[in-house]
Amino acid sequence: MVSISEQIMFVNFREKQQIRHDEIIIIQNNDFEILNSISMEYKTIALININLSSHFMNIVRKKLGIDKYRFILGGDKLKELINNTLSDLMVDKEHNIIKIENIEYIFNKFDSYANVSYDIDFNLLTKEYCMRPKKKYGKIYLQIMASAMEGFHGKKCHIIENQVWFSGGLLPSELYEWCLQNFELYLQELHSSLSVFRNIFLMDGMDDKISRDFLSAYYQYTDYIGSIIDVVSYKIWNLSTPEKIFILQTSSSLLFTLDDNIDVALKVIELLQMKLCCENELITYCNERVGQKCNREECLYFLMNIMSDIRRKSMITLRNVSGYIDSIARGI
Amino acid sequence: METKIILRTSNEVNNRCGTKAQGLAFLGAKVNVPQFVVLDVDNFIRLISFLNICTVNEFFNNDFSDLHRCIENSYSKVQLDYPIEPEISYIVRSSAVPNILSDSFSSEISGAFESYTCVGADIVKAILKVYQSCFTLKAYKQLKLFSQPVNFLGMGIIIQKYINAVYSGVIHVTGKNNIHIQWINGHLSKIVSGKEFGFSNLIYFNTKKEPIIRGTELEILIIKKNDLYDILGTAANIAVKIYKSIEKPCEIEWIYDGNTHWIVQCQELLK
Repeated sequence: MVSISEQIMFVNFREKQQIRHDEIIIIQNNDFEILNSISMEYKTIALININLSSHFMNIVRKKLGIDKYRFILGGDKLKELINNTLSDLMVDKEHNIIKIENIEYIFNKFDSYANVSYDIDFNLLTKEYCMRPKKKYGKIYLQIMASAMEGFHGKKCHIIENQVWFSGGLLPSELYEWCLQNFELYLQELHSSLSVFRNIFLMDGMDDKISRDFLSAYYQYTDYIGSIIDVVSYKIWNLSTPEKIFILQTSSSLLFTLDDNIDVALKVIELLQMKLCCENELITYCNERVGQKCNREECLYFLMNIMSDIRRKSMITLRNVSGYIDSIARGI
Repeated sequence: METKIILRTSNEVNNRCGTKAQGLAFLGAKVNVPQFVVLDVDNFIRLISFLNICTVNEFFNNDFSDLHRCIENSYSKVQLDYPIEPEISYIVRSSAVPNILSDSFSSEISGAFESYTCVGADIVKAILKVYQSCFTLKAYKQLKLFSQPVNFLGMGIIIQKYINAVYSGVIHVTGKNNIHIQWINGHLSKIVSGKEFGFSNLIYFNTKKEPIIRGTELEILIIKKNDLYDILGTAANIAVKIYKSIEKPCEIEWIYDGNTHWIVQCQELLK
C-alpha cells in the first residue's frame, strides 16, 4: 500500500560532478516558501519514503525519456548515507552513479526495497507469502480483502490465522520490475486496483457507518489518494511539458503530508465516483458528468478541489497553498 | 626427542574431551555430523608439558609474543598416534572443559579461541595454533568477561573433516517456533569471525508444521532467486530435532555442502 512521503530531499547536482555535503537540502514538502525558491534550481529529487507513486514517477520518467529532473527512489537510504559522511559526493551522471567515500551507489538501486519497513512471512514449503500487517484485521475485512485481491496480479488469496496469504503472485519489487517492462499492462492493473477499492467500499448492504468504521480502522486517507493520484498524474504529465511535471509531482506530494483525521469513508467514495480513466481522453465519473470528457484544466481543477477540500477539513494550515495552486493553474 | 599425541574417536568421547566434542558425539547418532577425533584435556596438558610450554594461568601476565615464538618452534617435535589422511582438509578447533564437569554442552568461552583449517599433514601445527589463540587479546577479554580461567580446567581439541560449504550458518533455537537462523553463501567462518553478517531471519512452523521464514522483501527475494527454500527449511527442521533431543535452548552451526546438511557444532545457549 502507498506510504506517506514526508520529506523531499533536494540534491543539487546541476552541472558539476562534486557536491559539497552542505549543498544537500532536506525539507518538509509542505514548506512551500522554501520549495518555491529552490525548486527550479535543484534538478534531482530524492523521495524519502518509497511508495507506489514514486515508483510510478520513475516509470514515467523512463518512459518519456525525461532527463531534466532525476528522481531518486529510496531517498531515506541516501539520506542515511549522507548523514554518516562528511565527505563530498561524486556524481557520475552518465551512469547514474553517486559515489560516497569511494563506494558507488547506482540511483535506481536505491529502490531495492531494502528499507521497506514491513516484514514478509514466506512459507518455505508452499511458497505462499503474507505481508505482515501493522494492524490486526477483523474477520469480515479479511474476507473482503481476500475476495477483492483474488486474481489481482495473478495472486490467489486465502486467510490463515488473521492474515491474508498470497500465492502465485509476484513480490512487490518483482512487480515493480514487471511494471517497467509492461507499462500499458501496469496502467490496466492500476485500474483494476481502483475497482478493487470500489468493490470493497461500495459493497451491497454496507451502509456508510460500517464502511466508515472499516476504512478508518484499516486505511488512511492518503492511501486512497495514493491509489488514484498515479493515474491522474500520468495523464497530466503526458500532456504537459517537463517543467510542469515537476510542479505536478510537487503538488501531488502535498497529498501525502495530510492529516488523516477526516471523514475517510465519504472522501473515498467521492474520489471513486470521480475516478479518472487513463484512456485516450480523460473522462470523469462525477455524478453529474458521467462519461463526459474533461481537459487538462478540469483535471487540475479536480486536484485543486481535492487539496482545498483537504485543507478545509484536515485542520492543517498549509502555508500559501491557495496561491501556490493558483500559480500552477496560471502556469498551465 | 619426539612425543606421540593420543586421539580419541567420536565413540570414545567423555567429559574430558570438552563440551563441543560431547555435543557432537551426542548428536552423531541423530543427525549428520562430520567424522571427527578428539585430543582430550589430559593428553593436551601432557603435550604442553612435553613441549615445555607454560599453561594458560601462568601466561596471562607475560609477554604473549614470546609464547607465540615458543609454539612456532615446537610443532615439529610431535607426532599423531592416529591415521590422519595427509591430503584431506580438516578443521581444528578448541573444545573447552569446564572446571565443574557436567553433562551440559554449554561453554562460557565459546568463540574465544580460533579454529584453523589445514590438510592432514599440518594437523599438529593447527593444534598448537589453536592453543596459541588462547594468548590473544580477544581470548583474554572473553575469558576475563566470564571470570575465567577460574572455571576453566583446560582444553580439548577437535579434529574434524572439513566440509565444503555452499550455504552455511548459525541457528539459535529457544523454542519450537523460535528459530533464529543466520545464514550466508559460503562457509560460516565468515560469520563466526565477524567478517560478514550474512542474513538473519526468524523461522517458525505453522499449524500444518510448514516452515515459515520472516524477513525483509530483499531477503525473501534472495531466497526465492537462489531456490533456498529447501536448504533453509531443512536446517530449521534439523534445529528443532536437536532442540527436542537436548530439551534446552542451543546454538547450532550447520553447513550445506550441495547435497547434505551437516551439523558441525552444537552448544547449549548461555542463560
